[in-house]
Amino acid sequence: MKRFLLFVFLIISLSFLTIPDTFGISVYSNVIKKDFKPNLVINETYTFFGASNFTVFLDGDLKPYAKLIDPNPGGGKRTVRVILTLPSELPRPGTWVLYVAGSEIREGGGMSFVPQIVEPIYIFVPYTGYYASIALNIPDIELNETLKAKFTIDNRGDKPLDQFNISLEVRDEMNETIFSKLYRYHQHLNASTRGYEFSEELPIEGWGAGRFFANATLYIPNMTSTSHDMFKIGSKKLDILNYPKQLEKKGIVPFIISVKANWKYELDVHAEVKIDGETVAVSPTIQLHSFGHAKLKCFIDTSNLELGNYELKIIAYYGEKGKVEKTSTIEIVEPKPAAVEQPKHLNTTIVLIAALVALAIVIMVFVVVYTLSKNRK
Amino acid sequence: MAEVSNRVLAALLIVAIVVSLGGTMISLSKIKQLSYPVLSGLATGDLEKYGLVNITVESVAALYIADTRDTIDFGTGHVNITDFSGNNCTMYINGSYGNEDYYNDTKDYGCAGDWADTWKSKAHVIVVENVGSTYLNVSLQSNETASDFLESVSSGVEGFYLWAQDNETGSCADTPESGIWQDWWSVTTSKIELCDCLNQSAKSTSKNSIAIGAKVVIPGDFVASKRSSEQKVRINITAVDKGDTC
Repeated sequence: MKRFLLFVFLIISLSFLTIPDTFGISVYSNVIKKDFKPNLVINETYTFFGASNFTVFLDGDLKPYAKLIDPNPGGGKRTVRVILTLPSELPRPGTWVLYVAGSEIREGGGMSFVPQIVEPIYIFVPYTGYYASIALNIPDIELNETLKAKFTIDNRGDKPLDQFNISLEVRDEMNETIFSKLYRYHQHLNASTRGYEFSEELPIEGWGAGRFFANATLYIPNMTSTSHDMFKIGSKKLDILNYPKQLEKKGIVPFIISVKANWKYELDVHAEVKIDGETVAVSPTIQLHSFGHAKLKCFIDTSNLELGNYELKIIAYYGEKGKVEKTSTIEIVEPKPAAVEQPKHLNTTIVLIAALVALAIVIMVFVVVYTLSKNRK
Repeated sequence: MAEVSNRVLAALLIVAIVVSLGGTMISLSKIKQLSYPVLSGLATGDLEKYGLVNITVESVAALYIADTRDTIDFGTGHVNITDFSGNNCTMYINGSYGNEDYYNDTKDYGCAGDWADTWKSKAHVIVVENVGSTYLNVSLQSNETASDFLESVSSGVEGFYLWAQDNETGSCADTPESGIWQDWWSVTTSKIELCDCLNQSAKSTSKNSIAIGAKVVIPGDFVASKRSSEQKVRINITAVDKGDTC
């Protein structure tokens, strides 16, 4: 009987662990870029996974020179080997490509969409004359950090470069250009120089936190090359500044949370309040303006809470998926008796002010009396 | 034998402790300097090589179309030919997931059966999502055109169009030429680039997906051999890994 129950338990447990059989399709990234060399052999492995069944195939203009070794065609996660043997020459300059593609096997009715993921092998045959390309990379940073745009130049022509220009444009989420500059360089780059890297610091003052898009264009004689990148300044978009530490036990009481946006664009914000792990209040959603402050107001029923300390958790939600949390304690206290107005006593400040006012009046009276008596005389 | 006094015992104890501690310290300091192999218990070789944990994090290129969202199903219906219908039924869906725009001709103007309305409750746009840590170039290729998929006897009014847009604003960093992005284009069997640079999920999990809509114009003189059977069209969404930069 025990064994049977254990078996049933295992079956139930495993059924909970069952995951969907389709995830799209994935591959460990392996983008290869090489210069052409006669009879060069490239031997690479690619691990595809995700879908329960997929095919792997080759495509592109280098396909006639390539061979695919697939240990389990049509199966699930596996590593395939690709052997690309280049010929003694390729008939045109520029980029040639071999695609190693994984395509999910799906049987759909009507209009069905099938995902495919592709790893490319790029082979570059040098151009005659000037030919270069640029790659732009800008990292995500926090607000107090320095932002640097990294440029990588490949001279793919058979002539050296002695000077080149790069224009850099940065746009914000509203597609407004917030920075634009042309950089001029006098730098010797030999023919077939690969991966020449350098950086320029960007003046982020006034940009604020947000997501940005950058576009770099390289200018050399008779051609241009462009590259894009996206980056983010600032990561936490919202701060919880203040909230009550005590609540009086007198029924439904307001609970006000002060928040501040650290983001350049409007955020939808609302908060959830938990006491001892149980949600006791949710605030309405408000729109918080760029770097704005706001107060989220909700109400908590304290009548069911005994006097004493409780664990308090405030979760403020913003944007589509963001949230910040604050954990603390909150004390439920006896309601304070109605305040009785105390008689006002004279204190030193009031006496001092009164004395000064009196002195000023005395001086003014004296001046007036003295002036009048002098005039009479 | 004379009895040893407590003072002598205490002195001996102190000497023993000093010798023990001193010997331990000298051993520990000298043991590293031994130049010949000896059983010392000390790790041999370059000490800096020991005690390290190496973790290699792989970049992954990944494209995801949820299996509940990989089909646009217009349902079953027929073309209601009237004086006003133009002898066809037009239906479309576009927009972003959960916020779609739907259209179909009314029954008097061509669409009958599910096509008159009920298909809307089941249909959604297709969501193509970059769930990897690299940027992706995304393109689309259909295996059939309108004349294959919705073949008419003679009218030639059949139509099959697709629509692409950000599912989450800011997902595609480099949109294609006009006429493809946020517009209907007539489907051919050629490959069409939808987005040169689809944002990686490592940079933004909320801005990394494209929505694809579809429009069909079903002719009143749909060929008899294809009636009463489900019409299928397969559309490959191909994502080429672009690595860390666009």
